[in-house]
Amino acid sequence: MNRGWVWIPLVFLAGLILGALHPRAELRQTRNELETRKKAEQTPPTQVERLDRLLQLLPMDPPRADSRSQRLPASPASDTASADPESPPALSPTNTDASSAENLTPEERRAQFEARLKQAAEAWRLRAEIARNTFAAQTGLNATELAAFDAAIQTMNSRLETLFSDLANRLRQGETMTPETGLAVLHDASGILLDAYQELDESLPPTWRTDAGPTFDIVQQVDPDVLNPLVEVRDALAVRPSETGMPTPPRRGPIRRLFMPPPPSNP
Amino acid sequence: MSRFFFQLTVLSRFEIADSIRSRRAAAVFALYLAAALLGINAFATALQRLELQLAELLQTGPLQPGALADSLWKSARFRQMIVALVGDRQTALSLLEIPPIALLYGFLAFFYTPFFALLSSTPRVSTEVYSGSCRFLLFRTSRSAWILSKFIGQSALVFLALALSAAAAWTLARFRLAGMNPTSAAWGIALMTGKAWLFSLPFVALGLAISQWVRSPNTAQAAGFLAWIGSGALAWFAKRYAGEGPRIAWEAVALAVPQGFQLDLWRMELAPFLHAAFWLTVLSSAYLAAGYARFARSDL
Repeated sequence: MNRGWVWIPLVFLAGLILGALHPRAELRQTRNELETRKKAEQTPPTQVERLDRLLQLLPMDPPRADSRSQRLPASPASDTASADPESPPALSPTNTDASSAENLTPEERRAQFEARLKQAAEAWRLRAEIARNTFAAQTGLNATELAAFDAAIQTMNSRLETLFSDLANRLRQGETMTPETGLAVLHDASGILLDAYQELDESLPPTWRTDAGPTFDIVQQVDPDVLNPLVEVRDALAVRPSETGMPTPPRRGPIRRLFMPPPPSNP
Repeated sequence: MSRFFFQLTVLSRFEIADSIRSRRAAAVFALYLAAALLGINAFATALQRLELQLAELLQTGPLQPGALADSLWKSARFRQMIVALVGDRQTALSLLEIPPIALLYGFLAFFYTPFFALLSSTPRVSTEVYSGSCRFLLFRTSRSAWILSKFIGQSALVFLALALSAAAAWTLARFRLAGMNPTSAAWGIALMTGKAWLFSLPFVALGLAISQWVRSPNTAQAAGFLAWIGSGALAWFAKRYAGEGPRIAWEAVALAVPQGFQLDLWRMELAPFLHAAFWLTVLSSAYLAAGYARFARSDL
């Protein structure tokens, strides 16, 4: 009998192995990514993540400084704002920006961030101006009442700025960003917004709410610059050694490469 | 071709009959029986002690033996624990569909069957080559039919041993664990027996391949033992180190050892089972062919 057939099962097995390598490698990679994400969900959030969550929870659109903010799920408020044609251009970089940002020096990145911040602030001012004019037209307020409205809004913005500056200073001085800190800031911020409503109630005619319509929202009058201290301190938190505790990559070599444990995949 | 199959049938029957006549089969059966019975008995004892402690703690009447395991199996927290322990959700949930006693039998069978299969098959060719007795037989048949008959005979022997140990394990469990559902346990154990047998086929082929390469029966048996440890170690390394770049080589290793398909065999769905069955058959053929590549050319 011809002995060549002996090689058929071996060649068949070799072909099967070669054919299965790529799909199995992809499947393994996907599983690893899934595991990493599951683990990331289970680990307690870092200070930066807590601050990001606070920025998202605040009833206003925070200007976003880097690609990390973009990876986090957008808050409903942000979604609404981005869907709104009047909303300012988002500060968060696009995917292309994110990849090109990796090639920039820290100074260039800083300059880029500041330029975006100015652009967003301008857009927000324009939006606030339009909202104020619409409000004035709908309510028919006189010059004194409009001045009272402006004063209440200015007080609200300066209070918010003080609140966020205080928090930023405390974080800079080494205070930890705990869930309690976040809750306290949220409590104070919502209190300031409510106070603004009450001040408007006191200084404007009793019909102002009805005249302004159901779409009036005091949040539209919040100057995005009030959040600048928090966004700035976020960068400082991100570079603290405890926050960047990435494992040191092992030394490479042919054997090490073959036996090296799988690297943590980026979520 | 029909002559080849006729010879194959006759030789396979002879291989089984020879194993029984020489009491080799009795030794193999005893090994499988001892492993299964000792394992199940230890489990039943531990379970009964646990149930006694639990009855004291809960201040209830004595629990029916085996009832605790069944209740535990249905508990949501225990199911979560098993999922975390196995690491693969699908496999873990599949395992929980099997009655606990059948699962234990499966674990035992998957552990000892490869070792016993290698132990019994490694000397099968080398003994006859070493003594020269194969020359009388190979006057009247081809080497390929003889090797294939050895594989069929040894596989049948493993199946008989597994079936016997399964029956004994079920009987012992029925006797010791009165709370156990006998019908579902019987089905579960039968299913595990089939799967363990399928898993043993590449090991039988590997043992015969070693036996074709090595002339001394003792060396062949030692090599078989090393192959059992080596394949287990390779599967572990492959699972641990497979990844991107050069480490993709470990994926190939995982596909070349039977243990790489063990998890697929544990799954209850048809697709992973068929996938594992196909690969294990291909591996068996490849191992046999690798052995035969040498045996076909060797001077007997």
